[in-house]
Amino acid sequence: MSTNETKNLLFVFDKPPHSSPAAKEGLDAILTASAFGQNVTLLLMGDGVFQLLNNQDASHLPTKNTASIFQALEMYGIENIVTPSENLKNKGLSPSDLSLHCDIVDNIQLAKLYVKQDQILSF
Amino acid sequence: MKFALHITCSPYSKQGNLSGLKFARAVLEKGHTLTRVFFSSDGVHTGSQLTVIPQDEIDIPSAWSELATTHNIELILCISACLKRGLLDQDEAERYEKEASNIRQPFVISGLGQLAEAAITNDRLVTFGV
Repeated sequence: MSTNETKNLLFVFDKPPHSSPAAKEGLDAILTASAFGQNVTLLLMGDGVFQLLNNQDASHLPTKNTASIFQALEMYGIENIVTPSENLKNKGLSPSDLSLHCDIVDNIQLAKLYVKQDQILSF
Repeated sequence: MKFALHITCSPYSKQGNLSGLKFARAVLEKGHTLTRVFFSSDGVHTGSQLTVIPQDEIDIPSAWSELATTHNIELILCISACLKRGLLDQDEAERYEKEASNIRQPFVISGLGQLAEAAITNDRLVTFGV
């Protein structure tokens, strides 16, 4: 690559799991950006937080099981995974329902997270 | 300001593809630079040279090509999205032993690294997906 710059890239996932190729494509994109040495953060908004639901059984679906890819994020150096507390509450979830450790943020922290980004990519 | 675009929807199924094209024109009209447009997911259908558009409808794929040629903009198609959707350049057609290739000029097939690089090296990366 022609640049040594490091930028803050926020990847926003807002779609439920197994409903479209968006999560798979978003995961490919965030893994690529991380491999490029960028400061990446994954934000799960709206139905996107269901991507991390514990005990998903996608074995009856013909599509690739994206839940297992989320488990591998930490291994690839993606440790900043964020979801808003209000969103969790709206979906009737608690942090223990999630398969990964997430930073649970309030709306002010969420706004600060957005402000410090150089680019935001939605999937 | 340096812009790049990320188009994730096909030209004739959703509004986003045409909105992206119009945004691209507006960016250039305002004197900014547009360096690259990265097409992923169904957006890669924009790069097919086999589209046939009725005469009284806008030819969106051709319009992207013309804009890119005039203003020296890279049009990149995500390779994994292309292969799944039957969009192959000559190299990929030979690699997978397919009978034809169908990529429109000046689109090129490349990897997701081009999207990451676009995010890093431009002031703005704007996504059109709905």
